[in-house]
Amino acid sequence: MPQPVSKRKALHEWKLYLFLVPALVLVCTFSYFPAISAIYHSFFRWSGGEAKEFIALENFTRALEDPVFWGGFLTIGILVVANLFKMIPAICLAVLIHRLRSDRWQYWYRVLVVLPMIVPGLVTLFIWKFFFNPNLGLLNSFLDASGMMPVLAFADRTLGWGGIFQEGIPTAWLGEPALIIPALIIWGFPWIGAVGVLIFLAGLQSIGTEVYEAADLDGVTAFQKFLHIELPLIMTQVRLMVVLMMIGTLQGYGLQFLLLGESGGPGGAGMVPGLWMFNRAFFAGEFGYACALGLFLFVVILGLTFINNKYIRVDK
Amino acid sequence: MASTFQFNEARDAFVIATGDEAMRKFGEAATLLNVQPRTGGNIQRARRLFEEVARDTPPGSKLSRLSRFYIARVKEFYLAPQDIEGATADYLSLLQEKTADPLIEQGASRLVVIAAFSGGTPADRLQKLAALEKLDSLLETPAGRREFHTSMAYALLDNGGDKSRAVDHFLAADREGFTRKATAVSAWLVAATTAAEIGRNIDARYFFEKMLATYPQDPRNFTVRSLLGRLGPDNG
Amino acid sequence: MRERIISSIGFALLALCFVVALARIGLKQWWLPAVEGKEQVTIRVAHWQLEGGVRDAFNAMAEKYMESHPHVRIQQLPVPERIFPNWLITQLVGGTAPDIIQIGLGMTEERKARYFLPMSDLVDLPNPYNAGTDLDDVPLRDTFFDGMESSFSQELLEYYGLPLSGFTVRMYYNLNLLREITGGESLPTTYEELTRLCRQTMDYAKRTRQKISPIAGSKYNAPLLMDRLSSSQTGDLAKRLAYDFLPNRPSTALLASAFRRGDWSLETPEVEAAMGLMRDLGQYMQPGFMQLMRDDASFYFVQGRAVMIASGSWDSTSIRQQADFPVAVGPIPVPAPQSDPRWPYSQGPLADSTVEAGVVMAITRASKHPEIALDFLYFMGSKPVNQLWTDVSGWLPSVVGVKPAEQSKGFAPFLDGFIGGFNLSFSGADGMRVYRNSINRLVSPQGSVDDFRTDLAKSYSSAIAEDLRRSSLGAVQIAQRNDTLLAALSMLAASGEDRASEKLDLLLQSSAGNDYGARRTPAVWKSFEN
Repeated sequence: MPQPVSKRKALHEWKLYLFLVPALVLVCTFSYFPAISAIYHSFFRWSGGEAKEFIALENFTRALEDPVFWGGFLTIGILVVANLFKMIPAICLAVLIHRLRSDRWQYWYRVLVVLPMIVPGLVTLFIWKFFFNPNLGLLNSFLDASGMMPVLAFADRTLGWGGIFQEGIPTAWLGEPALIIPALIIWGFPWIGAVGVLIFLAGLQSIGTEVYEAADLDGVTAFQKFLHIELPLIMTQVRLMVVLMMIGTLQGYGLQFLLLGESGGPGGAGMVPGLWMFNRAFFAGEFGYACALGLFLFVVILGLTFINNKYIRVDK
Repeated sequence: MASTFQFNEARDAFVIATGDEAMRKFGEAATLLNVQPRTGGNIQRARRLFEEVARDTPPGSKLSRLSRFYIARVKEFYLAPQDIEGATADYLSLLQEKTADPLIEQGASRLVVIAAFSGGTPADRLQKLAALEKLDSLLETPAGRREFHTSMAYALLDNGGDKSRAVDHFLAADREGFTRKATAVSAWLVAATTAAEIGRNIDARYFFEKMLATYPQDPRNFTVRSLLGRLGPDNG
Repeated sequence: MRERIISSIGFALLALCFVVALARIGLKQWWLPAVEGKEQVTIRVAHWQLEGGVRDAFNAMAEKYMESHPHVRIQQLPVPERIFPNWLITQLVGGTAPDIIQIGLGMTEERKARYFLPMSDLVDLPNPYNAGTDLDDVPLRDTFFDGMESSFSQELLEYYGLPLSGFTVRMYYNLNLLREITGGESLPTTYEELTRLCRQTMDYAKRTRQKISPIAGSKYNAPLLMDRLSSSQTGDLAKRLAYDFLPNRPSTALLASAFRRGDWSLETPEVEAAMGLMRDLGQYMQPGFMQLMRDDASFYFVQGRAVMIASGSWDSTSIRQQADFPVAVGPIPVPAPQSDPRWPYSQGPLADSTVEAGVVMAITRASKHPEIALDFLYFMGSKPVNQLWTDVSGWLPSVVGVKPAEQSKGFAPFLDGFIGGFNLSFSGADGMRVYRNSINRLVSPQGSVDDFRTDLAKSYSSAIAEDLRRSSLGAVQIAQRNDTLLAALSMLAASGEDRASEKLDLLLQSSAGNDYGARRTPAVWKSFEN
């Protein structure tokens, strides 16, 4: 428990506080100022220039009745659930790396996991967009070469999927409303994010060896070790990743924008609240309304984070 | 400054200006209409300033009349809810004074437009428009008459009114002369196609040929020549 | 010691790179050859046209200017289109804008008025760089084929900048493939010939087991074709529905009003014919084309995987540079009248709907040397230099009498045709959004006109209403803005200020028209709410 410091002592070396000023200025300028500006402009009819008209809560009442905005939360909900499952490969890889006996091999595997981070995220998205290309993309080529396309076509005919998979006709992964959500889930396969792996690995490495020794003595199997020892002891990290994932998924729209365009793709199936906010601002020229949408999104994320912190406890 | 959208700066300049107080107030009020952000408070202040200028300047002066015109504009375009009845009365009152001011005479076209999109049925609106025909006698400037007649023509067409009367209004507007290409082309082509529809082929021919002669490079001219070619002898 | 040296290598490399970069920038930005008696001046020119040939054309014009003006350096700043609007507003607001900027992307009338210098006082005077040509003494405005309409702001009633080029849309052909498939090089001149070529291509692809499509499509290229086809069927309908369609297309308020009244719907025969026509040609584009971007389609075409691609004259040089086959260009044919009972509403060949020039370059108020910037602008807009522009870029010229480059001859504007009708995204951003969201149901192999119509109908009416609402607000804002300007001009005209009366008259016409729209559009919008 840190000891309280007297005011006199704290201010004795007051010049040291000046070192905080540059960071504070930057945070205020690039984080707080835009946020405050967004709150201010959400009360205006504003098309992004100098002209603005005060309209009080009109943007908010309109947002409450906006079916596209709230419909986007359904898509987000599906993506959040999918992303929860997509955390599993990272956890598994972290466990596998952790269990390697050789420190040298652990090091090299960590390097291999981290190396793809040098590729900018945007480039990865463009590569995946190319994968989804119906005529030249890797995904359709793989399905054809592996013989899975006839299987999918059969399933399509049998289950009545509407002819989205047909033999001899390239599948338009980003051109069919029914395939948009699967495409948004598939992207990033095998879903091993470096940041996640490293965070889980750090958690695993804080587990004492005596715990494993005790488990070995009790004859616990490898899977039981994972289930009863490793997973519970890294729940703090898992919870952190869940929070980060939820915030990222709720706020994010870059993926949808790059893959599907500003209208959310065919049928608007990929429209999410963040993308709708972007659409209203930059395509409809309704910046004030977009700010109001952003505030709603902020409230939703805040609410979910609060629920997560209050109710999802980790028993150490 | 207003032409470069520097309304706030322009208003600030008027606030500190010295000299003719009425002119200063008028300038401040006119810029307040567009000071950013636009708020109800600024609009009310602008209205009060216009009312002060109208009250404190000689009734027949340009400033006084312009101020009254802008009070009408505020009622029509800036208040929520709009005071259309008040605006209508104000425009009418100014027109009856025969100001011979091109801007103030825009009140006539404002009255036409208000009537054209007022409530009720198209028949009700056509009745109101018919009552406004007599405004022509109050207008003394080419710009006033031109915009009045153009608005009347469109208003009649939008409400399913007498197309022949609409063509007459277009002809009257054209006599005053258009100086803006988009306005001219719109009026001529609408007049021409309307006239052709009702068999007033001489008038249709006049407008089509005016279009071809004035703007020979316009891409619509092929269609214009084709429509011209389909015109028969005048039936109207 | 050894470790210290090794760890210093990284820092030394970084420092070296920094010094080299600084030196390169310094030489470019700050060092200018000394010229006796004249201040050294750099004029920066920014644009977003990264297509092939254009940067070379700007360089050529700059070099020619610098030959006769050694104390001036012209620096070109090409900015990618995707980030241009953001870059623009940052530069304008920050006061660091280049001297000359291409206007268009990210531009609003407000930004034009605040940050750019109008040229209205100069349009009636001759361009000094046209001296000795047949445009000597011709007013600047009349030296451009569009009369500088592209530079004129209808709202502000001022001219901003000079245009350098003209644009039209055509079909590009891979002549090698065309020869292989048809045995000749004749380009289709009718819609029937076009679809026959498409069918021949598909047969050829099947026979030779090659993945070749007739037309390379994308969400950018496909609308260029489909909008044209759609408007070939809706011309007469548009004129019947909207009395001012011919001068004011798309005449959103009247078309919307007619839709609301039930005068037309998604089942109207002309609209259905338009949809059918779009589907007819859409099936000849590669599957899933609506998910692809412009670059994907161009890539597909230049790789020899498609016989045709529709694009503008702005892509002419880029496509020719990247393709290793000869490329031909031809008009996009639409069905002729009575040629096919499925599309009976054609009036005839369609004119190029736009005759405005483009690549409009304007001078910013932030320019420290506006007189030199203007001089360079005059230079670029002169007949001899516009000839240089078109020869190097391969784009159409904007100055009257300039001979188009050989490769751009196929793009000469075609005016002897009818004005087309409207397409289904006529109303604005939301109309476009719901149209794009549904279009896959029209053009996908398992789609149909009925599917498309059913899907579009779910949100079409509300999308139109939303566009009208926005348009209403915009018109009211313009009306309010005009009020201040009118007051000012009225007082100035009364005091005898030069040109004030003329400007007042122009603005009265503009504002009367706008005010009319500001009443009509809300009335139509409100009808959607009932």
